[in-house]
Amino acid sequence: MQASAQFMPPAPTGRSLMRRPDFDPTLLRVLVAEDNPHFRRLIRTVLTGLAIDQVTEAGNGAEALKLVQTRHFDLGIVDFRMEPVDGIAFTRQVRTDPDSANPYLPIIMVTAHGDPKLIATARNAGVSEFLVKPISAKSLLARLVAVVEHPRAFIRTASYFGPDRRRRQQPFDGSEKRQAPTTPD
Amino acid sequence: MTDETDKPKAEAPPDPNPRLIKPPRQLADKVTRTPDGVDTATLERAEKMIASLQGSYLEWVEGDLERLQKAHDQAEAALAAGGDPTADLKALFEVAHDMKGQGGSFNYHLITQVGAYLCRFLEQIDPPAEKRHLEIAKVHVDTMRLVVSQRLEGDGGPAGKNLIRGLEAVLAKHRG
Repeated sequence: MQASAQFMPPAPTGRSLMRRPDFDPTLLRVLVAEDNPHFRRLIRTVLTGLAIDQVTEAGNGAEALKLVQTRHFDLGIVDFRMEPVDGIAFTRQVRTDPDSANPYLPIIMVTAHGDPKLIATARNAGVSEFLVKPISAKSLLARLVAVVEHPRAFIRTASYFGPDRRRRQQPFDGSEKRQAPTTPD
Repeated sequence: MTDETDKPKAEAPPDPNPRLIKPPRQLADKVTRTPDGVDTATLERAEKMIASLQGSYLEWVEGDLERLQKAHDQAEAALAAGGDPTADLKALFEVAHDMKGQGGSFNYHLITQVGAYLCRFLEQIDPPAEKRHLEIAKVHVDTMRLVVSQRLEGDGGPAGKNLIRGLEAVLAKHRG
């Protein structure tokens, strides 16, 4: 079941990827947090194939949190299901902990779950993009392109801090309640 | 598309002062884009590297099958002893869930499909599980073992279709 697709923008097709300008992410430093060692190896292999060699692995969300506090990463790829700290708790901590070293870290959540409620929970924690298992080189590249090419503005409200959860910017007649864009805190 | 989560909750007053923040563009600044290139070579290289892992996948999926079998056997033993197999079925679910997430990456889409069926079936059991539930779970385990032992890649051809048809018939009979 791919019910989560309703929350996700359509992935670029192979054709559109082939038409796009060269995408060279060799300088990116990527943190991969995944408790399954085989899946970690798979993700690292794909990243290496995409010429991303600066990959750091964490076996769970707790390890990943320690790493983001001490090292700079440009992107986090985190699994949904991990113990003792799962991908949602990791994301929430990165986004909202007052001592977070990188609250704007783009976070791609990898999940085999199609449950829309779980996807909504992850999105409300501040996840940037979703990558549905089983992954392919094309699907991972598509998500990389999405976070690099189309970074979403961040929203801070009393109850949320993270990427704008609206996928579509639809016009409306009312007055804009959000203030003009500001620079990061 | 209607997204319930975007709607303000009835009990929560609108935030009087939400702020839109432009995030740092550190990511885009690091990615080189040239005007004349296309990225098919990179994508093909990454796909080839996944394909090169297939031998390793077949090794580690054997380990997954053993864990699947062990969890099932323990569930059966717990039930036979008059105990509660819930913890063993949770372990079974965890392994099936991992297998579901990996098979398709290595062109073993049937592993992903049967793993998804097994996860869904286990989620729908209203505890305590009964012997008939374990029997159906066993059909899933056996099907996954056949997919691997017969190297049924892709949709598995006629053999794969027969396996899926048989599994779906078992599930349909269970649902009545």
